[in-house]
Amino acid sequence: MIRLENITKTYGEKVALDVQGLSINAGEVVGLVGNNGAGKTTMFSIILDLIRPNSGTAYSGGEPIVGSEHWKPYTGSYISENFLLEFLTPDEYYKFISELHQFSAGDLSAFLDQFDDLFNNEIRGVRKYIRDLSKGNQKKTGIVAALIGDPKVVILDEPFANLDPTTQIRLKTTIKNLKSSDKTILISSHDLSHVTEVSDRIILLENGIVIKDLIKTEETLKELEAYFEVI
Amino acid sequence: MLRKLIRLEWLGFRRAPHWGESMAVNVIMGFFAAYMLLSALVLGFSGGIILSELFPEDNVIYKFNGFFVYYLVIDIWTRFLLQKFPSFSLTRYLTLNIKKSTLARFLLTKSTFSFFNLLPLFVIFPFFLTNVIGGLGIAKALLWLVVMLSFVLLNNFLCFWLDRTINRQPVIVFIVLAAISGLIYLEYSGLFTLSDYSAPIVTYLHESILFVLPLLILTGLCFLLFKNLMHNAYIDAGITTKDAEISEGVEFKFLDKYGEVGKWMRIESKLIWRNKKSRNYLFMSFIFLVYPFAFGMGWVSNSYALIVFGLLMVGAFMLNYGQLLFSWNSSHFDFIVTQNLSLNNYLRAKYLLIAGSNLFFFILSLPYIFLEPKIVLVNFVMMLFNAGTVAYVYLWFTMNNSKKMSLAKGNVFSQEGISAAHYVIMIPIVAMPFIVFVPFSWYGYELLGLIVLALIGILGIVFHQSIINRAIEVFKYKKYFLHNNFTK
Repeated sequence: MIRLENITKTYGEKVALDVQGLSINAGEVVGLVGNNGAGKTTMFSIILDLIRPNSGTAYSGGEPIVGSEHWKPYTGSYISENFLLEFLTPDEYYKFISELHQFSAGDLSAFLDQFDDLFNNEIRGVRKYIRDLSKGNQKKTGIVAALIGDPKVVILDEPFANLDPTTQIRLKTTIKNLKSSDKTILISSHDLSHVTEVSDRIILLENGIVIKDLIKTEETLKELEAYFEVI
Repeated sequence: MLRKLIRLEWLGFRRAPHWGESMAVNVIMGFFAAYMLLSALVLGFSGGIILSELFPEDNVIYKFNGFFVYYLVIDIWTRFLLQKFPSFSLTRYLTLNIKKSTLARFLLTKSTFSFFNLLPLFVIFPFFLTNVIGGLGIAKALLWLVVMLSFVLLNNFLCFWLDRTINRQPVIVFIVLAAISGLIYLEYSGLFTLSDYSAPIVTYLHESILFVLPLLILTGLCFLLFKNLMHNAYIDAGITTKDAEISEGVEFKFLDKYGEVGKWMRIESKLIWRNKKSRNYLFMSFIFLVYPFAFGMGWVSNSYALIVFGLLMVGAFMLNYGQLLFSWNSSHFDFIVTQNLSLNNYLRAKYLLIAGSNLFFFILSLPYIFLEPKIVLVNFVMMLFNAGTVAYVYLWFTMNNSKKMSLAKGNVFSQEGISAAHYVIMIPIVAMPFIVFVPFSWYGYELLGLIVLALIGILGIVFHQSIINRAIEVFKYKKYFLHNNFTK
């Protein structure tokens, strides 16, 4: 579904990302881990055509991403607050996105109903602009927005950060439920236990390079913890 | 403490990401400023001679007092449009060991360091030296000086105060606008001549104990401002839960009929309506509709002036909003380029929004037909020209403008005003129609010149899709640059 070939991205001397070959198959849930500056957000930004790599090609659905818009209809993403229309209310925001995916109002309502647990009555029907919501509620708004339109590819950067414990647990359930459908999901996180729990595969980045590429087993979490302890 | 704050402000200015880019504009503005100061100086020194030649029977100081009021009125107009009042993001200072009153005083003091307060001094002081000291004697002359300077500062703080309040009450903009327009109308119609009344009043003020009156009003106004600044020194000062309810009345629903393009236009219209800065730009545009009156009535019979004012009148919103066309989306740029919204529809919506604003303001300018039908004709031509050429200039060049803007800042301490630099950039735009029109008018074919302007505009509008297609190709490469700077 997603393929990175000989991708390099440098800022001056500093290598932000250097991935020789990485394929992510349809239906996989991939967790991306690594310390600050490891290249996680850079990788996501390249897949979303927000950053142009210095060399190499990134493919989505078999076609090169750079300068193309073919991936937009089937890709949902939430990287930062820059993905929110902060001057709309959450309801208006969802309505607009659903219209971009030719969803009817009824479809949208039914779709959003399944997140009522996650929303905790603080998002839908709230008469506030997104900019006036708390950081955590903004994040929830954005994560759910990324799932509108039944996307085949979902990209979430640090979805667990800034969320309260209850919401973190509910979000894990949401992601696990997504897994059953035929979706490719990419998640980056600093929380090793959360990300290992929901993923099928863990990719460990360090200084822009893929250090480990593991299929998740019982031992994966311990292996990761051991790695980050000594680094 | 004040010195430390001033130093921090200077560093903020010096280290702003766009400092280098705005150098050229600063140089042009410096040139204009020097020219105006020099003109003021000449006026100040020769003022006595001019007045005594024009009105040989009257007292020179008496006449000066009368005319000074016109300066004050024009001054309010100009400050209203151009003066940038001090503000800084207060949040970072609020928790530091600085008294709130110090911060408020700092802002008040800083507002007086403005070109608009310097300029009148260049008229007042020379006139004071050449005429007032000799005419009144040093003691009374000093009182005159006090009254004059109080008036200048009154204007300064009045506009500062309006600047802080219009954001919440757009009505005030229109009241000021209507009051000044009304005054100008009465003056030109000869029903009421302001200087007949102002001369004796001002003279009475500085010749009696009442010279304290302007000083008292000034103190009161400063106190009011001080209270306002103190009152709003909270990070949640701009946030109310009622915001959403208020704005829901303005929904722009009709745009939904026009597919995805219309949907984005609707979202962007909401952006304009719901954010302080963009809404101010919109209200500024209404001021342009009547601004020509500030220059008297001579412009009505001058074709060049008609074209300039026509371009500004119908294009006001485009010229203001368009300068930051993509910066308005800086805080949600990633949304736009990753969502299922095609670049074609996004750029088309942008184009239609700024081009369409010309039609909107043209309709608003229709009442000018009662004053002079030619104004409406020229406005119509300029509407076509703006939509068919100027709109593309903005669409194209603003892709290089990566100035990041914060729409969400509801805090009154962080208002980003509109500075003079904003208008300097319009000069080359205003020159565009003249390149076409002047050759025709030189040979006496003014109507033909207008027709050619209109035709150029129509061509631009007819071929808008192919022009936008080219813009898409450019945008595809510019978007990485914009993303990079907007997310810094």
